[in-house]
Amino acid sequence: MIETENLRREYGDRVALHGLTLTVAAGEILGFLGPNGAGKSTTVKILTGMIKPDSGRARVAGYDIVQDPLEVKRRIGYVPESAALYESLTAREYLELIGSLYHLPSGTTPVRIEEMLGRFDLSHAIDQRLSEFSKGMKQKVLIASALMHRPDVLFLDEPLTGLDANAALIVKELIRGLAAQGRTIFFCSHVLEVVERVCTRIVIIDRGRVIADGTAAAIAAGTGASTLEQAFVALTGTRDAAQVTHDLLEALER
Amino acid sequence: MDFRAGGGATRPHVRGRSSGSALTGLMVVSGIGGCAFALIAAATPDVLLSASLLTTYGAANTMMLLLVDFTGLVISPDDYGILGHRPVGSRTYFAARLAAVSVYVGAISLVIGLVPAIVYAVKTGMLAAPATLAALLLCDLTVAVLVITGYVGLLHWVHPARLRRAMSYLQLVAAMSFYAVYYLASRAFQSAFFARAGFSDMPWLWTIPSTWYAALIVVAPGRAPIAAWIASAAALLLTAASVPLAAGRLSLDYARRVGEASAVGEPSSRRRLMRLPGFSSGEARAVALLVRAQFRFDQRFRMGVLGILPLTAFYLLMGSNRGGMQDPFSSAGEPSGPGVFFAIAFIPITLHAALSASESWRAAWIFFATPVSHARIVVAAKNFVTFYFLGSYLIVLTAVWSYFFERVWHAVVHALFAGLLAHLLLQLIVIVKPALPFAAEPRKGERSAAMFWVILLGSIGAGAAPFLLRLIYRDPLITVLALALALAITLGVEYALRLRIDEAIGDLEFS
Repeated sequence: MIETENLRREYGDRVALHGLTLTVAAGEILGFLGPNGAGKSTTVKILTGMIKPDSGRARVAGYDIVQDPLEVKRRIGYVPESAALYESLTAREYLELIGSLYHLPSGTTPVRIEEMLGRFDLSHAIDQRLSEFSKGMKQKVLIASALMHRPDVLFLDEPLTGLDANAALIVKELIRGLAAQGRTIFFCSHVLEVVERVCTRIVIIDRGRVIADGTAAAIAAGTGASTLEQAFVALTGTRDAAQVTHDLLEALER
Repeated sequence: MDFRAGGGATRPHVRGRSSGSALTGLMVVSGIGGCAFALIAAATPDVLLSASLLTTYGAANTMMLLLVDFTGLVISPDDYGILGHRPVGSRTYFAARLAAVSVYVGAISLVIGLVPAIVYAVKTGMLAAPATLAALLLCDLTVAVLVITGYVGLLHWVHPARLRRAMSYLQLVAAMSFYAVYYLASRAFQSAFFARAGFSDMPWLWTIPSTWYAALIVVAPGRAPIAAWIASAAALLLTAASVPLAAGRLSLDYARRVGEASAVGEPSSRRRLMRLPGFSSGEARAVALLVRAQFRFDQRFRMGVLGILPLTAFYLLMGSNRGGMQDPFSSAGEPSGPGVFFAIAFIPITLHAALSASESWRAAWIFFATPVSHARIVVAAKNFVTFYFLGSYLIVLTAVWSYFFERVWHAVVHALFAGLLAHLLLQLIVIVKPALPFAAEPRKGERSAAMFWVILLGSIGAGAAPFLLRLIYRDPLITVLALALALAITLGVEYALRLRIDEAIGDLEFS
């Protein structure tokens, strides 16, 4: 479902991606991890067609992202990290906007809007402007908008941000269910416990390169750690976490 | 003041726009205003009268800019969220806010006052130059404090969003007043009013506080009547009195109230948006939904669209003043001036500028992650503003012209030509600078060289249009042929536009 080959992208003098090569199969939930500035957002932006790679190839849902970007975009859903929405619109209008952008039949959109907002317990707020929504409510609208057109591949960048425990649980179950239906989930998060529990496979990148690939247990075993968190720190931490903590506490005592 | 460039729809590997142009634009506009008042100062023998006009303009300018464009500078709803839990005292907060206001107001005041200061120095002596700058600076700073006081006072009763909206309408009224003043001033120049007028004929001017500051300019060279000395002292006292007033308002307590008021969403109406003919599916439907909602709730966009009304009203007033608006089909009398056509030519520029930039630009990622044609989005946005905004504007204009012209169909045909001209200009602007709707961060004073040429061409077209149209209207056959030609040109340019946009924005990225 997702294949990348030597993806490279630079921002001025800074190289964000150093030849990233990756394959994600249908029905797989891939946890895509990395420290800040590792190249996660750049990868997601390339795979969703928001930016172009400088070199290398990427195919999503069977289409080349540079040659056939619209075909790719028809088959993907995306929940960005920042919940930026046109807040002058109501929830219903925003999803109508999304339906129009995906060219959904005019009869289908209203049904799906009612259905999606109902499932996310937002029926009462359907005609409220998004500027009145809480962060969690906006996140639900974003997730609903990513699912409106029944995508084959879903890119989720910190999808649980702002959600309460109940909603977060629903989204986690939803992700598993979507994968069971054969959809591919590309899951970016800094919350390693969630990634460990939800994802069937994990890829860790650092400085634009893949540095680990496998299940949480395999990555932990590969680094001699007992948890994914420890493995992550061992692979990407430039400084010893225990030492940093000690230094901080010592500084606070001065 | 934060003039830094932001993100949004950009070309790959293209750096953000420079931060200097925004400030420069603001300074240039203020400088032009200053030059106009320097001319008045040169033409008016009575220094106190011209100086009063200058300080009053400076005060009004400061008030409008603070209230409408830089409300965040006055007091930001984010301040308390950032500073509330930190050990920042009200005195520190006051000092920081006052410094921000002073830098902003000071820069604008100095630019406005620079050329008039030179004129006054030549007319009355060297000391008048620093006095002019000081008078403007003190007057504008005091106004800033009074504006802040009034603004935060009103926030007790009115939601910040509603207050900001009300202030925008105030700006619209002020713009109309500005044009009215300009109109009266031009009439006064024509009748040598300024050469004859003297402050002694208008003693009521002493009741306006900005006049007190103007008195500083008269007093500085040392030869001034006692009233001017008293007024100067009153001005200094008012400024001194405003400092503790500002300290009370620019406090963390007020920042908390503003933050709390802003945190509660403004109640919205539950009106559903209907499908519009021609904009019922795909990109067109999406654009129609977005543009209408933004017009209802995005103050910047709404005022950008409505901002053309004062200018039109001004030109209509000018036209009606010269013996009523002439029917361009009539062979009698002189052709109607190009005034209204200037306003019509200005519409596409205004619409394009208002449509491209928005405070909601971060939400434009949706145009990049969905299977849409950017070219179709741009064309749909252009068509929407043409049909619904330009169309409505022309209907109003047709109604006004129908009243003055000999026959209604004269007004309809005239409006049709005006609409085609405005649409053609909008097409050219979109060709020169295609932009996705609400996808760029708003920046003040931005004008590219390409846009300058479009504005120049539009102005030439607007200037020539009334004379050209009179020739066209002489014969019905020529009128029909000209209309057909104008339509053909519109269609041709539309074809070129669609070819060009794909090429121009095909490589846009969202960062």
